[in-house]
Amino acid sequence: MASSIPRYVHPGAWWLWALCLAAAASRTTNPIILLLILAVTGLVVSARKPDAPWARSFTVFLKLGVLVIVIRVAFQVALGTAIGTHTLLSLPVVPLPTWLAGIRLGGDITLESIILAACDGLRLAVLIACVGAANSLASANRLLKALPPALYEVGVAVVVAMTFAPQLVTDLNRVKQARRLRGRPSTGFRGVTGSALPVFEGALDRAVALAAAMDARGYGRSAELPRRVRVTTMILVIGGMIALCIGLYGLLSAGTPTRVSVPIFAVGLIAALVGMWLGGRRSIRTRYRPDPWRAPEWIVTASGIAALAGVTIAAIQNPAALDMTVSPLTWPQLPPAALLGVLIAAAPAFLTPPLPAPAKVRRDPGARAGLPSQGLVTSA
Amino acid sequence: MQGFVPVGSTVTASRSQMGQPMRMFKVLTAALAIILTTPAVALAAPSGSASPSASPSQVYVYWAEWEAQAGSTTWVSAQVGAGSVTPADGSSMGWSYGTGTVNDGSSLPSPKADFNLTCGQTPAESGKKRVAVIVNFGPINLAPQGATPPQPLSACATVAPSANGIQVLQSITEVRTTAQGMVCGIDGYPPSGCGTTLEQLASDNNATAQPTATDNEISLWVTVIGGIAIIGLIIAAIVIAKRRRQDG
Repeated sequence: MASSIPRYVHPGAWWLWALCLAAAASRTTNPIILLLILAVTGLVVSARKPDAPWARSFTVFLKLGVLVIVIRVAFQVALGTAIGTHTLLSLPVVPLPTWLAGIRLGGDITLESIILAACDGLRLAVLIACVGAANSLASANRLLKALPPALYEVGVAVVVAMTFAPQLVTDLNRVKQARRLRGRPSTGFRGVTGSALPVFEGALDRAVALAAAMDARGYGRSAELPRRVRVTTMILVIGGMIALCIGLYGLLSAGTPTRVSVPIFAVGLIAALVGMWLGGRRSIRTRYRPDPWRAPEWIVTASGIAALAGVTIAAIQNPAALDMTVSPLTWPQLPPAALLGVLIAAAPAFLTPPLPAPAKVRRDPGARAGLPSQGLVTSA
Repeated sequence: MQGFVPVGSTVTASRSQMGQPMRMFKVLTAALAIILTTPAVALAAPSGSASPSASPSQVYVYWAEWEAQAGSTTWVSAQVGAGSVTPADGSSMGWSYGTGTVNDGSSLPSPKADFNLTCGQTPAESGKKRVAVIVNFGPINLAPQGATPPQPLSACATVAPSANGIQVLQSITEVRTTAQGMVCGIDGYPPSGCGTTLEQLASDNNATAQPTATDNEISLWVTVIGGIAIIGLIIAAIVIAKRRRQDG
């Protein structure tokens, strides 16, 4: 079967899948649907996450989500109004002037208001987790390789920045150690301002050297296009992107009527695509072994669409079930359309090709234990 | 025979070069499919819960809050949200669903705020306060499609002295609020959403042969299956991660 040959899935497919799940999560505050989406992303990440250091960022995003929930509940407890009858704690009320009405310091803390705030925070946490899942599953380098030719130079700049970002941290540690040896402050305000300048100098030197080396190797050459075409390209791409943002916001937010947002989105999309095709004629590079887009990518995208469609259909049939009701306090209901749609979104964990075997490092037979190996890295 | 060529061969490389615009086309087709799915599904249904964008000529239909001090019988429009107000013993609180204009007499909860009429039969309890609550569900022409406004509600709430306006209302009937304390629905009316406009109501009522926004009965089994699915997915994720860490 073609899909059993180990290879990486196209990063664009992972991002489309994750954005569909994020859009589905943004439509509801029902904690069961949100937890289901979170569990599905966790399963797909654990099954298809590459064995690279950058792919371990999913737990960081999960922790960020927990922090978001905690902050949201803390704000509700400290400043929110009391809703509901199950009072957990009664704090003394701090009297505020009348022009600050709507903000309460102290007062009753009720179970219902905490639950409402936690569900609000959970929605944002699941959004963050979806973006984190895409970050873990899709290598940023491969995503940059898949960029259209018009964005090639931006892509190169981003790749260079990402490659050299860890260098900044190493430089900073080295400079701080040197200052400590010389008896100068290395922490605190004076330490930071004193260490910053050498680090920036080093980064600038390295950037200039890299630019000279890339120029010598032929990067940055572009075809000659008339000025008129270049200006048209820029206007089309920037204007199209702005219209895309506006239309996308209208589509994702449940409040704007669709007959306004869909035309804006369509116009923006067409303008951006035409601009990118025009600008792509400048770039004369070729691509080496680009990621294919075949059946597994369609499966991944279709499963994302299924989740979004399931939640949308549930919003039409049972709009009340998509909100968490706290008065009276009842268990949240799960619409069957949403359950089916989100469960289909777990298909990429099983229906995509397995990952390639991780890079094996061949160690020198004479290397002592504890020293870094000097063998050849045969990377996949 | 694309599927049978291993990825590492040079044949694949040159074939992929020729297929490059085809691949971009496929990516964009997938993105377009997603973008058009959501509005296509959403356009097929009434969006009664849409909150309107700002326009000075729009008339909002929402739950307006009124209060009457103890001893007074005139309704006064509430200046702050019910969640921020602590009604005193013997006062009245009212909610009316409508366009909220003070000049229109039909938008008051009741013609007069009579505490003795509402709370005359309820004895006073020590350590609690009595607040009269009157709810007017508005005229039939402002009802969302498929819903009828219930009969006006008037009851006497006996609550703790520190209860705010929303807790007074919640002690009598079912209330749907936002996290900030804005009242969206009382006693299940309107069935969904939080405030709307006259234009939105008109466009919803003009939509013909559409499914109404009433709740279909959701079986408890679906929720139970959902809970089991969540736990199963988490366990599967942990097992897969452990097995991969052992292999790698």
